[in-house]
Amino acid sequence: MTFTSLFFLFAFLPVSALIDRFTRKRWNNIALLVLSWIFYGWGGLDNLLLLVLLTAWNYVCAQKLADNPDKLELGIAVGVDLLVLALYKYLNPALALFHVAGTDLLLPTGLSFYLFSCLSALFDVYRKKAPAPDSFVNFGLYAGFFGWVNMGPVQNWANMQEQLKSHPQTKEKQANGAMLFLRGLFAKVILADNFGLVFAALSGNTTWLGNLLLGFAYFFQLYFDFSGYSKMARGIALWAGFEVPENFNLPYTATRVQEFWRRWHISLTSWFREYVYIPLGGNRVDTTRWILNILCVWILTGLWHGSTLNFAVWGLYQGALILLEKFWLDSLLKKLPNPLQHVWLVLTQLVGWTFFFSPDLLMGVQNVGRYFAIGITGFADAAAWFQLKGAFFLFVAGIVCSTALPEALTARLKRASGRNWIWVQAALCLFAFVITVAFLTGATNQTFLYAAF
Amino acid sequence: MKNKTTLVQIVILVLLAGFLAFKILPQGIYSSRTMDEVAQQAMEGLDGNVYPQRENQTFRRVMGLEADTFEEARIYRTDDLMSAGELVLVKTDNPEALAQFEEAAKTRQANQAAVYEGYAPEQEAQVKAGQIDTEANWALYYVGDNPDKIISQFKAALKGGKA
Repeated sequence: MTFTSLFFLFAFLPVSALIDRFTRKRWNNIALLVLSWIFYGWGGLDNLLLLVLLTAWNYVCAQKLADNPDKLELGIAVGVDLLVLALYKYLNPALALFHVAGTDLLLPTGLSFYLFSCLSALFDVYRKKAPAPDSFVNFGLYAGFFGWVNMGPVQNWANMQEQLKSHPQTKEKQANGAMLFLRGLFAKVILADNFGLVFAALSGNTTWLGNLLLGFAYFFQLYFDFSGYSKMARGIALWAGFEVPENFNLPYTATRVQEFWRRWHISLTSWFREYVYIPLGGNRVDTTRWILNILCVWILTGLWHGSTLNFAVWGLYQGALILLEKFWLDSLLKKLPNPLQHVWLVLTQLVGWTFFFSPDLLMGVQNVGRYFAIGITGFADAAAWFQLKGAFFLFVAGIVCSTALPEALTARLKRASGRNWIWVQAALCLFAFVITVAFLTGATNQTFLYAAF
Repeated sequence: MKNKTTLVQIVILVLLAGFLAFKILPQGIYSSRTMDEVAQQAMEGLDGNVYPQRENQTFRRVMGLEADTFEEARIYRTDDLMSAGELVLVKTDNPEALAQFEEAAKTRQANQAAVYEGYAPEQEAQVKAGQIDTEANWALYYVGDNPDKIISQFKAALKGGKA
């Protein structure tokens, strides 16, 4: 079940809201956990069994670490988690390299996300940053709440554990949650899915314009797909009373790669910073060690996303860009006007995402080459012109919605409408919802991209 | 208390290991025989006029999948819409591709049953009796007479023996 399925929107979500609304406070987390497991089990009972087993494993290990914060205990607990993740993510691709038949280990949705949340709990308990979970129900909800089990945001135990004990649902939270969910749904269905159609139409186009539009279609699709999902996840969490920090903060408005990564998939980059980069010594080490720390974190980030060479290269590329900026480019970029600094960010990330969507490294390099007119079969063909004309306003909408302009316009509209704002807002929401459902019932609905990671 | 926690830890670990072993250990027959060998033996006794070999375009139209998703893919069916009979064979080491094939075959079976429902009861029954057999690196979807016989011929072909 995904957030954009009609069954979720018109059956699971309203029923969950009703059950949650009429459940007594002390049964509230149990009800949410049962609903979450039904949600997750919808995709296959074996996936649910794995989630339950891993939740139980991490819960028991956290209890043990609280009693005895021993390195060996931590190593065993973390080792089992990482072994399971590695088997699911890398065993079949490794067997394929040797032309051996794959196993039935198909990556369950959300495994990378909920295991990282569990690892956060193990590390935080070990370092005495937070207490061990007080109940299996609360920990089960932390790992598998249906709002975040499929695609995060990756949870942080120290920040979340108090909320699990008490997450009062107020009318304000529920209204804001519904609004966030709707905004995310709109971004996913109207923007991301339509960029997905442009991307599909231009796949394999080897002209300069076609290839560039292909790259930018993916550039925007990935952003609206995942940031849209994250908004929906935070909206559902807020409706249930949980306050989850934002996962995206207008990343494409950044002017430096380092700044971009403080704004993109914040929960994952924060996880790597807190549990890998800082324990490695962070920047409080000599320069050589610091460079190695940065590269190590980024290779791991790449491998978290996928098992192919593309992802390792993508990770190294991001790490190298950050180092490049730190040692040489930062002072040069500062001298440039702001729009040119921004061009640097957009180009570097366009190249980076190209390795994400290319089936292999060679095709990734070829696609990047075509941005610079290397290996093109012409400037443009009919398909490229057709997509440029047809999707022109979509690209304009994509650019506008990647900035803070929609927020500023909403604030201005709020001021202008005064006491009527509630009606204006309701009308806008209803309009957005109707349009979104109309698209959903059409054939344009596509699965979430980050579910593959 | 500590011993109790360790015991629970061991129980969960054993369950987890059992679960993973079940997933990792090969399910079904792994065969390195060629498509020609398997197709010939699996289809023994079938009428070539009812099951002529078709091109990859038909595979895509019928299954909704690209043939090059698989190491080898082959489809046998006529153009006669009143004939429900079809046989599809794929070979791949990729378990995701096999899962996709299984899903596509189920969808095809359900759609075809809906097409014949109401006006062609024999074909409808034949489609509903159709078989999908997924092995370690092969899969077969068959609609036609004697599905059990075809499945056992298919399995025997993979093993390289007689049914």
